[in-house]
Amino acid sequence: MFRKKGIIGILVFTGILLLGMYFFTDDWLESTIEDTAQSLNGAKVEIDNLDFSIIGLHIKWDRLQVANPRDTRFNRWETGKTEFNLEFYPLLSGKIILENLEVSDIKTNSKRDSDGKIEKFEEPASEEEFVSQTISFAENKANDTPGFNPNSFKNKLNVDSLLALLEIKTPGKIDSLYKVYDSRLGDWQKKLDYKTYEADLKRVETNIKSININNIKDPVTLKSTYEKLTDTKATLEKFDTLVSSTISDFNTDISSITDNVSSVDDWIKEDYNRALSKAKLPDLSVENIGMLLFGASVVDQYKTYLGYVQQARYYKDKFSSDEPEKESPPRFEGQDIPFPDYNARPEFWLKQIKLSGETENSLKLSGLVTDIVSNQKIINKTTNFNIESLSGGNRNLKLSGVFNYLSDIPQEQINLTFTGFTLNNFKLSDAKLLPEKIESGNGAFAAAFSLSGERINSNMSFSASAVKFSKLKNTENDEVSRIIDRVLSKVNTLTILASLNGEKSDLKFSVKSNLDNVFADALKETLNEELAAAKQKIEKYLESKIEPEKAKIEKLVNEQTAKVKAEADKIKNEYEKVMKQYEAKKQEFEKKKKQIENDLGGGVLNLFK
Amino acid sequence: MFGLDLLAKLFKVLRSGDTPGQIAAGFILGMVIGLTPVFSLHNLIIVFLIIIFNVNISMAIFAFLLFSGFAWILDPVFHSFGYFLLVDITSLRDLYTTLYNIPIIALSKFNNTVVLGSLISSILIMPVIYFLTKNFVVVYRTRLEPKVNKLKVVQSLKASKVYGFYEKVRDWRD
Repeated sequence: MFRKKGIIGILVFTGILLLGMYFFTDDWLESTIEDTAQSLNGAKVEIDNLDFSIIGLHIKWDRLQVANPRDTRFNRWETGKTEFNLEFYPLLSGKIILENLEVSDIKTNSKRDSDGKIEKFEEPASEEEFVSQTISFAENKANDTPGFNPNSFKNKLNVDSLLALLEIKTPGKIDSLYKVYDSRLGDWQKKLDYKTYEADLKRVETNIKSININNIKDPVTLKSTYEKLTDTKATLEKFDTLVSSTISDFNTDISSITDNVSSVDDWIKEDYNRALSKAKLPDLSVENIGMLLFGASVVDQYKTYLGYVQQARYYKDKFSSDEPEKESPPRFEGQDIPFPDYNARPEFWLKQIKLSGETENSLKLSGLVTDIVSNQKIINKTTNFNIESLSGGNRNLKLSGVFNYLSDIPQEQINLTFTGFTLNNFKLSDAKLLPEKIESGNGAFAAAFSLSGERINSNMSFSASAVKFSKLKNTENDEVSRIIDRVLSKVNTLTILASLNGEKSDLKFSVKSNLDNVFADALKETLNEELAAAKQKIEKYLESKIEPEKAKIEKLVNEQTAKVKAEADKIKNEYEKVMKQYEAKKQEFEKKKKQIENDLGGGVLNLFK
Repeated sequence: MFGLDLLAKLFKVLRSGDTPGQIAAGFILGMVIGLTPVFSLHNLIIVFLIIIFNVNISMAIFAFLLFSGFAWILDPVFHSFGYFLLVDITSLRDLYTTLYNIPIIALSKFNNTVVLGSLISSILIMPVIYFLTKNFVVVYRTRLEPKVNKLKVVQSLKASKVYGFYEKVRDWRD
């Protein structure tokens, strides 16, 4: 009944499989974890000496390096020896549940031996996604605030080269408008040309003249004359109606043309604003100085913290959408029918990570991260992290947060406070208006982020005391730099407050500092004249290009309108003349009628009924 | 040539030393693999059964190929049948829920309509196909084989080099 060779074959196969697992599982597991983690991180993830023991499903490694995707020369963080156990039974259902993970010797921002860049990286979120939109919004706001190099003010602002590149749209628009109006006014000239109506008026005039009241001798001629006069009056009334309505239409059209011509001024304003934005002339209002000085640095901070939220949301969505509802599955795929899962386990669950290590500035840290899980709803727990500094002298760091995906609206909270750190040679900002670094001082940083669905409330504050700024470069011949140096030499505190708040469609980003007023006053004193001159130059340039075109269209409208109006007046006058002739003739007729009534009796009136 | 080779193998199997029961068992096990999605847990078990038990492997391969074609055609029927079993028969829901909560059973993907529909269909027709195949082998060996041997196509097949090569290889294997 049994096939001996078959049983031996299966035993041999199983043996080879186990041997292969024994020799190759470590390498396979190491490269699998590295590949998966790299795709999550966006830069290299390297594990040294991974060891997997099938007994107890124990995994350990000596070192794990996670490169920083923003600067791949450094690690985002790295760990020392790490050990943890996998749960066995969930593995039979294809689920990975990690028990307590103890990570020691965590270091942040450590230098790497090799570049941590990887070739392919799948961006974790789409452009439409809220967090990336929020980051882009802050980035654009910081970039759109015109920054400038104080050195550029040593020479005059180079407005000429900008204007050469500037595409002025108003003349083109005026030209199109000119053609349209030329044609329309031409049509009106044809419609209200006196020659068109002259023949009709002359005919009526001839008719009136041909009526000889003296020829009326009897009731019959009286009646025929009366009929002629009535016809003439009807013709004149028809003529009047036609001419009046045409003139009324013309007046309406002319007022709309005149209104449109006035919109040329709006086009000029648009061109002017475009020129200003291209020139990136700094707006020295107090509201903009903070953004100008610290906008880019603050945005970098937002990118870091919101980047974590972005990744968390991406993987939450990716893992929580694993219940397809297919009605007509493709062949051989079928439809999975879900049943109640009494021992529901998520696809991935890292129950607890105990962290210990130190920052690049040798600040000892210790912390706990709990419940990193593919679907929080299954375990009904949020992901929490809490990291604090140990004895670090005056320095004190506390980072805590909650990623809550239990309800349909994702919610994240991150709080960070870091106080008592020194600012010796601290890089301040890339803004050309500021010195590269603070030579000495003490700093404190606090940040609070709260996201709920498509709403964000966040504040960041940086304060520094006993500050001594380094000097700006190239200050010998530069008035602006000298002023800035003078101003900063009197400043010994620095406070920066940033906030990014609002909903997806209505975000507000602001950066303020205690230097705003000081800088604004100092810069205005020096730069206002220069800026005013640059603006005036742009205005004059636009004026020289646009004014002739504007004058041309105004001339067309005025001249043509005057011509058409003159013709209309002439028609009206001629009409009035003929009307008077008719009235005179009518009066003569009435006299004659009365005379005949007197001669022949009142019975003659019956003729006109 | 592959078709002829397969046909030759089939005829050879029908008159081989294996019992009709072994041939029929190989056939129905191959049929299950052919009718159900190949990469399933139950198919791994069936492959082990084919290797461990003394059933006819050639017949299992032949049945697998034959019924894979049927599976493609019958897929919508299996889907509907599986849906009926999993959803419409409410009295079985408790059983399914229990099975669903047993880790190793969950790996079998029994809650997939095509997997369950095709597997239950295969199991239902297994006894019928087994007896039909077994009887067919008996009838073939007693009555049909002399007639089949006289067929021109069989004679030309036996005369072919491929068949000669096959016989040699078979003899080495035996």
